[in-house]
Amino acid sequence: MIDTVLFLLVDGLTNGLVYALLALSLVLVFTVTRVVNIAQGEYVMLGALTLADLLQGRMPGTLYLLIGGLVLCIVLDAGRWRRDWRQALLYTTGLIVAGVAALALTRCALALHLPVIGMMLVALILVAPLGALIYRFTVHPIPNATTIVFVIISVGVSMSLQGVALLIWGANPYPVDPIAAGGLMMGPVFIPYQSFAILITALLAMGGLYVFSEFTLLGKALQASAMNRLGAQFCGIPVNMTGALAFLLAAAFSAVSGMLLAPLITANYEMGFMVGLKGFVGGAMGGLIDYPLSLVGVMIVGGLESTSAYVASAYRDVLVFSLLIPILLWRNTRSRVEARR
Amino acid sequence: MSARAKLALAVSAVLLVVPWLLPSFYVGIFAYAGIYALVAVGLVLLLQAGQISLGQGAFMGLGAYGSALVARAYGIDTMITLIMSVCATALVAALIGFITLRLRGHYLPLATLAYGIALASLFTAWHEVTGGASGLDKIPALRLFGFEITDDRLYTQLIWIVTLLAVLGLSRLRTSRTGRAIATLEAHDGLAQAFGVDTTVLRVKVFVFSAVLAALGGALYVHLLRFVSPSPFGLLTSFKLLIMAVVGGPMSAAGGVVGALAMESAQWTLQDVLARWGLSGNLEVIVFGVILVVMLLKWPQGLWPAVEKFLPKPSLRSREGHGLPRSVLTGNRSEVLLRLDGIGIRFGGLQALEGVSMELKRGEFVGLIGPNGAGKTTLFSIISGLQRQTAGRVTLFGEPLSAGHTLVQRGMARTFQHVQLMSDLSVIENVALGAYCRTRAGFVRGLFALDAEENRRALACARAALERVGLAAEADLAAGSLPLGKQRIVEIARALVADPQILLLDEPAAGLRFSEKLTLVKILRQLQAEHVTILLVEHDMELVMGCVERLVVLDRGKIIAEGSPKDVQANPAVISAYLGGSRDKAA
Repeated sequence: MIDTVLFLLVDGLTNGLVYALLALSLVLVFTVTRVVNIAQGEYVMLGALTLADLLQGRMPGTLYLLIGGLVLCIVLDAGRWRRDWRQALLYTTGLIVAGVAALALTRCALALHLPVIGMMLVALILVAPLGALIYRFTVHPIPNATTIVFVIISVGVSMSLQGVALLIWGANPYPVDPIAAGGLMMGPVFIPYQSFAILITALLAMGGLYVFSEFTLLGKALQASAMNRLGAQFCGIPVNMTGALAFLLAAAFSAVSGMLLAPLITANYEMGFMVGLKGFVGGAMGGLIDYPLSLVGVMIVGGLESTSAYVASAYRDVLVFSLLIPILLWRNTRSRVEARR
Repeated sequence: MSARAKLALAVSAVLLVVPWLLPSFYVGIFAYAGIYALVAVGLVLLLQAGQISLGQGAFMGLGAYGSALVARAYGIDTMITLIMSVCATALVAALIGFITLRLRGHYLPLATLAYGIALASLFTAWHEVTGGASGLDKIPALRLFGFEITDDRLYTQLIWIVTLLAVLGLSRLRTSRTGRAIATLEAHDGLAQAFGVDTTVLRVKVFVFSAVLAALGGALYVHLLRFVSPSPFGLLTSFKLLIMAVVGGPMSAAGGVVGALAMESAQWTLQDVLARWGLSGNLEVIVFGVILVVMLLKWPQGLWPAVEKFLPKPSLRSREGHGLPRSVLTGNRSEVLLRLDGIGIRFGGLQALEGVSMELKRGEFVGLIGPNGAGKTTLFSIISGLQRQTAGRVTLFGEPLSAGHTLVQRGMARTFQHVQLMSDLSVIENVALGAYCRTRAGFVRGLFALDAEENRRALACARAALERVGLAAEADLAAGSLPLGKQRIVEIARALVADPQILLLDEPAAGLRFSEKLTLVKILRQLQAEHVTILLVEHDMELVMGCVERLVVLDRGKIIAEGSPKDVQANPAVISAYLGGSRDKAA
């Protein structure tokens, strides 16, 4: 009995930590840009599949996606040439160099047969900029649209990315190597090393974000845009830049969570949506604005999930999502009390 | 008949004839489009009320499974099972709505997501009854009054009749008493409450109605397909429906139909075209996603407003003739209407108000002034029932203050410091909201247009009020398009339509031009002559001093002076509060 409980606890904690990275991305994107990004889970999928490709020595399809996005960016910003050709030249050259650099980096990594951690870094560098590109294409043109419009737009983005992934990778699942194989017997439970890797990476990512937002100017600009977009704009903070940065960081966090999750469940083109949803559920418990509460939220979701999977696996989703409603009601009354103060 | 009505009739006729002309493969698609349109129309209503639902697919599922399972298991006439299952879904929705609709912000869509997934998973998990993921076949066909509808074309026509009726009903509702109240739900609660809208009940009603449309759609779906399985009622359907409602545009019920037709035809055309070009089916979802994004980037308001620009204007509902009867107020100036006893309120460590006591007698014109942060607006919120005081008592017409939304009924109306208008609705509709508490027609009467006479009188009242404040020319413009000064005047007109005995005005002159201020003063004087009791918060001292009989000065949550304008102007405590300087010296 006790080892079952411990096993469920470890399992729930591991799931929770993966969702935590995702919840972190969602909160980051929401606070800075007011976009509830349903497509956030797709970066999880992209991260996992890119890593799978790299580990098996193939050119990852993500590279084409990235280069395509950069080209589209150049086309969409063609208007710059008329306004200021010097800047436009700089901008276009920059994007082309970025594309070429990404290509070169991938080739190098494949030639050198980097270890898993190295490949994760390369995959991260390939996936994260996609976030900024998606921001450029879908949020930047209509900064003042309503929340619901952005929700639906992100659904469109999610569909497209899933479709692209299906086109590139097909419907087959891909196995992904863990950072370290094997595990450790701790008392009665077996804990795979991957769970430790997830724990360490999640903590590093959260700590990194904290240090970045508290101790760098860019991070402070990000915080300022999150608190008051208009106010930040008046202070000379380019809110479009911070928006793109938020999307980029969020994509990076989600990609990392995908790369950590993939060894546990194998990667495929449609893994992102459900993971994204659960991250969203966790994040929303903190009202999408509160980092620590979101963490508690995803831990609850992870715990509920592994417990109910054990108790009544057919009813897992029924249980997880029905139990959410009382938690939401409780959170709602709490937040009202806090607002009154 | 107006050009718009003729056009609507023509389009409806086309939609009803189309099933008989299409090749049989497309009849089915057209039928499903009709069902999705029906459910999307319900979602549009929800969006108008400021609610986002990601659980609409689950309500479709409840309607579908309810009707299908009972009809299949007990051989009951499907018309009866359909009605029963829609009613049962309404009950479930009422229960869910009652529990979840108190949620705010992101909690509400999240809750809809939660029960949406939970219910949809239940259809799969409970396989002894529902047949699980593989579903159940041999669902009986729909029987209407003993006549079995097995012809797909006839069935499709029936679906579209139901859908068009729903659009017609909801368009009527939009311009009715209840429709105006629904529009307030999206904005701040204060507005709805101040004009007597019981937001909790109305939210549940809207929610239940949209669930009824969804259940109806689900039941129609399942008797058309004659097969029931969980997949059409999952999260993806809920998203699809929401996409249709948003792409079509939540401004009008017709947006739901436009959205459903646009999305379904985009999907099928794409499938067709890509297959013809010999491209893989994977491309379809990519292109579909891109189209969706581009469409919303181009028309963030949805397709309907873009289409509507080219249509003739809709005919306006009648606003001629007499308005509602007005109450005649007596000039008995000794009667105390509003009494505050030692009001205090504390926000955490901040004592915003402390020991505030004052009286408002019938026919009085009292000004409430004080420097910024003195607590004037908080006091207003307490008087109008939007906030509870932590100490003291408020007595209105000799009775203790009741719930916020009942106060306007008892004769107290207010305006807001931060203008609260429904910016998409016309000025006259905004003003007519003031008559909410003086009229009775509810949801159903609005839906079936049984409110014509009452609505005409409410609008006549609103028109008269607009003439009185000099905004008759702007009656049919969107309220959001007016400059701020005029929006404030619209707020006053709205409060007047409530036929108040006490009028609370929160900085009505802020942002007004000189000529507008003169109009304001004229209106205030006239109201005073009609024995309306007025409490005015205002920063424009010239206006205040010229109008009011008595002044109350608030500073840091306490009353520091009271009396005629002249006395107060000479009061050293007031001067020091306004101009700064040492408090000790002033005392």
